Amino acid sequence: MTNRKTQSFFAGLRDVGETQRVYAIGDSHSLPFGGHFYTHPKLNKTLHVVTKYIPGFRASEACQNGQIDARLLQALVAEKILTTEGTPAHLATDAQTFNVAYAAGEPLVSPSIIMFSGDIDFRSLILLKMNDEFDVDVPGMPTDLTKEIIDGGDIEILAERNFYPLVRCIKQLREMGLDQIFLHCLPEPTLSDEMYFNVNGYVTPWITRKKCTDIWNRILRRLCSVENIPFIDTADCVTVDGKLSPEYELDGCHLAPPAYLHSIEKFLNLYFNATAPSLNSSRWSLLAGLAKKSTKRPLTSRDDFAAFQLRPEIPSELLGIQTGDNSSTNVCPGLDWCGSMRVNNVSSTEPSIPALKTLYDVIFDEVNRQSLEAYFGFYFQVINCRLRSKVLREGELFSTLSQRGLPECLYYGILIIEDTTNTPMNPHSLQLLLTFDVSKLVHIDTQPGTLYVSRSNHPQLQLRGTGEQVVKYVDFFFMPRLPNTPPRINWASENCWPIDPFHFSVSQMKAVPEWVGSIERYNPTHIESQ
Amino acid sequence: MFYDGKITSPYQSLSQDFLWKPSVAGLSSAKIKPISDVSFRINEGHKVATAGSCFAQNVSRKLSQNGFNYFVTEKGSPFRTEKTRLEQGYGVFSARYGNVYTVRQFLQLVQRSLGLAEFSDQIYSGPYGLADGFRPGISARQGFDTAEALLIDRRKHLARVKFLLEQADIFVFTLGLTETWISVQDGAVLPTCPGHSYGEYDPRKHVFYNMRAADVIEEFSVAVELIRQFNPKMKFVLSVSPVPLVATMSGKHILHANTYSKSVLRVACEELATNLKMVDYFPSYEIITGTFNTHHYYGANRRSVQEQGVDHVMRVFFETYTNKRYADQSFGTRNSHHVADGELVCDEDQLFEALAASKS
Repeated sequence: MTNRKTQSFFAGLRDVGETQRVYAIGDSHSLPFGGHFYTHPKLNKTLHVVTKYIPGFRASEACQNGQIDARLLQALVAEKILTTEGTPAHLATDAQTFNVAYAAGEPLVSPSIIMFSGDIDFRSLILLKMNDEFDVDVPGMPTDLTKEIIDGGDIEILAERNFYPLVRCIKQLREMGLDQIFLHCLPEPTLSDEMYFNVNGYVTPWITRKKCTDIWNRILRRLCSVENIPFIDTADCVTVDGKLSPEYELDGCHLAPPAYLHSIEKFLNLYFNATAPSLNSSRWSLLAGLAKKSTKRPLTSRDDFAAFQLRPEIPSELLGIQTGDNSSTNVCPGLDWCGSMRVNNVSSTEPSIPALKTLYDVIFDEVNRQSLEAYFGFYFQVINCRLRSKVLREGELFSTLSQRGLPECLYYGILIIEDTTNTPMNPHSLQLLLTFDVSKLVHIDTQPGTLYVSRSNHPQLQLRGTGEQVVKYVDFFFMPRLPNTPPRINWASENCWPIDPFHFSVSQMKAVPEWVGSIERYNPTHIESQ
Repeated sequence: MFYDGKITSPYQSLSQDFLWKPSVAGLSSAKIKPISDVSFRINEGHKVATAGSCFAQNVSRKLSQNGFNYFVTEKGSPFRTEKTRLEQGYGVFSARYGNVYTVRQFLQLVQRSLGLAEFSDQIYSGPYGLADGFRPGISARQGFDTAEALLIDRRKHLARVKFLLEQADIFVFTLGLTETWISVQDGAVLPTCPGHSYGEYDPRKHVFYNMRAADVIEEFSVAVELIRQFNPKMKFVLSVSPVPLVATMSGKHILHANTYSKSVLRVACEELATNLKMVDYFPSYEIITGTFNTHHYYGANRRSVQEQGVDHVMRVFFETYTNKRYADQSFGTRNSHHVADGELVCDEDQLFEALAASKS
């Protein structure tokens, strides 16, 4: 029986929708995030920032003698990011853990963690010793000649020494499977020497604090760049002419909550444009169950899922080859690509426009898309693809040119069209095998005669079974996209296989497929707006 | 006139300090205090700066150890260890000028820091990189990689010297030598002759000069006047280093040359203390060299001053100038043969070693 008074009082209650957790973990600079929710019209979800404060968490102690700071591990266990055994929860393969996590909305892929550390080291090791006696020489910035001037190189050396254990810690967590860790910059210093003194008990003038902060953030940015750790740098957002804007001042140490809005913006930019979590193919059976719930197609076995039947048959347009000659060029009338080339004994042809269109329809079919997105844990787009006409021999690598410079965070997909007849393509006997691989993944397909991609820094196609089979396949890379941006396939010919998929252009194209549009340029520094 | 036995001599009313028997012969060595009065007192709030020869480094150390505000404006990077900083010449004196042996060197240091005089670069090669001819001692273990780096460091250093001269309340200066080496080009004074620990000696570029008493008096007076133009409150304590010369270019026997040098400096200090206000002479020379201790304060080489001697000097200094009791470092804690300047940075000693090595 409904309580009418209660009903009327809470009338209009609405569900804000599913939230996605982002974890802010580390020193006290993680605290202002705590309990905040962030949303944006472009996001389909609300971000919920969960804070885990670790008092006294120093960058220099984050990893010592190969051991991650125990308090950090405890924090990750407490947030169920790690199991009590110390393994990433999202990689757990027992059904109970998976089902509970799924029901609880816990991450199925590596959770996003924004880590805060370094400021305690910075203040105690640098600013305390600089005090009011020293200033540092930084080109382009004023120097207080009434103070003893020390070389900025000394500050840089200490920064590297102190941040190295933190970087090591993140790398180790990444190797465990937590590969969505973002590192936040040191906060901009307060303009008020008095407020700084009130918090710290000594005075270091603002100009000195500013110069040293810039040095430490520069070193941290560089270390992150070298180690591919996404770095959240909000300096340009919270300063005017290099000085902290008054609205972000809080207590002389921490920044006011509006500053952290910028942190989230920067995080999202990196999340969508520069990172992607790795997959865990060992959870296939669990995810197959998930896919069963979300797809209309019956999937009765792991193999079924592995051989994800996107289409019962492949139109011949997908192949782009009309002769039995494996080295032929795409001769689809009306469309000429860049031609073919032989690389490592592999000849390939580029997909024709109809082939791409078919691929697009196949991959982004509503049901397939939902299943794949559930599998990935994010919205995706295809950023590159090419069609191969011949399987690589065992141990043969993909063209190293194609792998060079590509970030490991990309998902590499292979759409394999297997031709068991060893004759010109017989569409009726084709099967499709959709596999996913990144350098961290292990995926084994047990279907005889098919290919599998094994774990490697350079994905290798190996032939299983006897004999050599001619297969046609399209391989492509997945990347995340915002939900409201249209799914797309960005492509290039093999002749122009991009070294960096974020910045590629097809310069030798002879025709531009209408439906894709013009040359796509994928810029990681901003989120493409609709 | 019949002499009736009454003594009316002016010596009759002399204080005991002015009589040998009660104040020297009749006292144990450690109790001798050869100073009667001073022009000013030093308290813990005063910023006390030091400069001078090797012996002056002892004064620096002791002031710091005994709770005085030993004023240092060039401490070196706080991120390096104290050992490294000391090796690089930081903290040995109030700024990183190394040993300042002569008054002319001191005057030029003041002039250079105030921008009143410019000299040629005086950059030389050294065993660890480039050496600053004005401060060869700081490059004893680490030189400069480039001339630019050296000049940048020197500019920073002179800025700190200027700050020191502007801010210090008391300046303790120990005069060490009269013999000096001068650049022919522009008269720049070098603390030591190039050729034994840095650079090369070239008689066309470097000349020897042995200062006279008049030089010392004149040039120190100029330096004091320059400083007091912007720091009128600065007071000076002068002393003469009791450490004998290690070598002489005067052409005279080393003992002869040493006596001359120390005599000139002693006389000059007396004149300066008499003629200039707020300039005192402190008798560390007398304490160490006085016949009353039969050279007990010198080490086996008859040159290095032992810790006991340093303690005596500082004890008298503290009793005379301050209200503090000096914490004696030597009695009961160290071997009486411990050489006080074993940790000192002494360019002269390096010369001695180099000469000894070359002749062995």
